[in-house]
Amino acid sequence: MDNEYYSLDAILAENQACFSYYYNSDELNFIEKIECTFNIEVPGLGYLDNAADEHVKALHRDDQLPYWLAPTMLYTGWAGFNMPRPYNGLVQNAVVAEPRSVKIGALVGENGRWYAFGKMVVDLLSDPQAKELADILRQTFKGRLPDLMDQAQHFTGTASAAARTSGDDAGAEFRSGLDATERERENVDPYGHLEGTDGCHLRCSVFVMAQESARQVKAWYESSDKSR
Amino acid sequence: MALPANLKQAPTPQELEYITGEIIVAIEPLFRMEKVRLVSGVYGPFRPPAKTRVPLWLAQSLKLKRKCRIVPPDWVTVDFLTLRLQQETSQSELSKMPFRYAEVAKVLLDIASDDIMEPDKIRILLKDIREARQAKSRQLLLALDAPYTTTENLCSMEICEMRLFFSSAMGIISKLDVEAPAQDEEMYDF
Repeated sequence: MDNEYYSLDAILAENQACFSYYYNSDELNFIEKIECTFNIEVPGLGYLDNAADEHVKALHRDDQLPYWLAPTMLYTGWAGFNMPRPYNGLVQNAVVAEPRSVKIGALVGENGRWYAFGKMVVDLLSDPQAKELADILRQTFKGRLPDLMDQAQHFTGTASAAARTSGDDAGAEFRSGLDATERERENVDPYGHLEGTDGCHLRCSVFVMAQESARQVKAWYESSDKSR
Repeated sequence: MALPANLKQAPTPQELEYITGEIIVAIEPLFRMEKVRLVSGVYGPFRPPAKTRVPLWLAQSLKLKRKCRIVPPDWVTVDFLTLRLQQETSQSELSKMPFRYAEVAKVLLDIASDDIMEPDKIRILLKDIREARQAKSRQLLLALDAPYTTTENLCSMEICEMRLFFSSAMGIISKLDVEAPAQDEEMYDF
C-alpha cells in the first residue's frame, strides 16, 4: 500500500485525471505532448523522452513533455518551447492564405481537435506569440464558417441530399477535413452535446447544429397544414 | 426539466407557426353569427358578405370547415413579391419583409390557395426570395465577431434556421480569443 503512495505511475495518473476534469474534455488526448527543449541536464529522467538514454540532455530537441507538465517546466525556465508541428509556420501560412483548403482535422492525431489543442498551446505561450496564434485560430475558424454552413445545409441527412452532393468532390473533401469541433462525433447522440454548453464551448459541434436546424426547417417547409 | 435538448434551445418551426396563429387576418365569412367572445378577444359579427377580422388560427379552422374565404394580406401578391425579389437581388442588405412572412405565406398557400391570385407564381417567388435572403445571411457569417453582431430585417424563420449555428460559432470564436493575462498568471502562480 505505501509503495503505491510513492508510485510514479499513480501520481501521473492522478495528474491526468485532474487535468481532464479541469478542461472538461476527456476525449482530448492526453497523449498530446508538447515539444520542448531542455535547458538543463536532468539525470535519471530519460524515460520522459522515451529514449534509451538514462538522462535528459540539455539542448536536446524533441523532448515530448506531457501537457500538464509543460507549464511548470516552461515557467521555471528549465525548458524552452518549440511550436508544435500542427501550428508551425508552414501550417500558419497555409491557413492564412486559404483557410478552406487545409485539412485541419488531419493535422492533430485521430481525434482531430486542432482548435482545442491550439487553444491549449495559446494558454502556454506568452503574450505576443499567444495573440498571434489565437488570431490565426480565430481567423481560420471564421474563414471556414460559410462553407461549413453550406455543407451542413446541403447535407441534411436525407437520401436525396446525399445523392445530390455525392458528385461534389470539393465539398466531400472539405467535409473529410473538418475539425472535431466542427464535425459530429459518431458515437454520440446528436442532441447530446447541446447539453454541455456551460462547460467547454469547444466541445459543441457546429456542424451538427447547423444540420439539425436546417433539417427541421426543411421538414417544416415540406409539411402541409391541409391534413389538420 | 424533461424537455429534450433540441427543444430547450430555441423554438421549433412548428412552434413558430403556432405563435403566428395570433396574427389578425381578414376573412369573408360564409355563415351568419353574432359576436363571439373568446379568451383572446371578441370577434365578429359574422355577416356575409361583410369582412371581419379574426386571428389566423380561427381563420384556418373556419377555412378548413369551408365556412369562410380568407382575404390574403396585401403583400401576398405577385406585384409586391416581384418588387421585393428585385430589391433582394440588387441590394446588399436584406429588404424589409413582414417578420413572420414565411409562416403566414405557408399557412395561406397550404389551406387557402384558392383565395390567392396565382398561387403557383407566388410560391415560386417566395422560394426565390428565401434563397436570395439565405445567400445574404451567409455573408453575415464573414462579419461575425464576438461578442455580438447586428443585422436588420431578419425574419423569424430565418432566425430559427441559423440561431444555434450562429450562437455556437460565436461561442467558439470568443473561446478562441486570448483571455485577460491576469487570470493565466494566477493559475500558474507558485
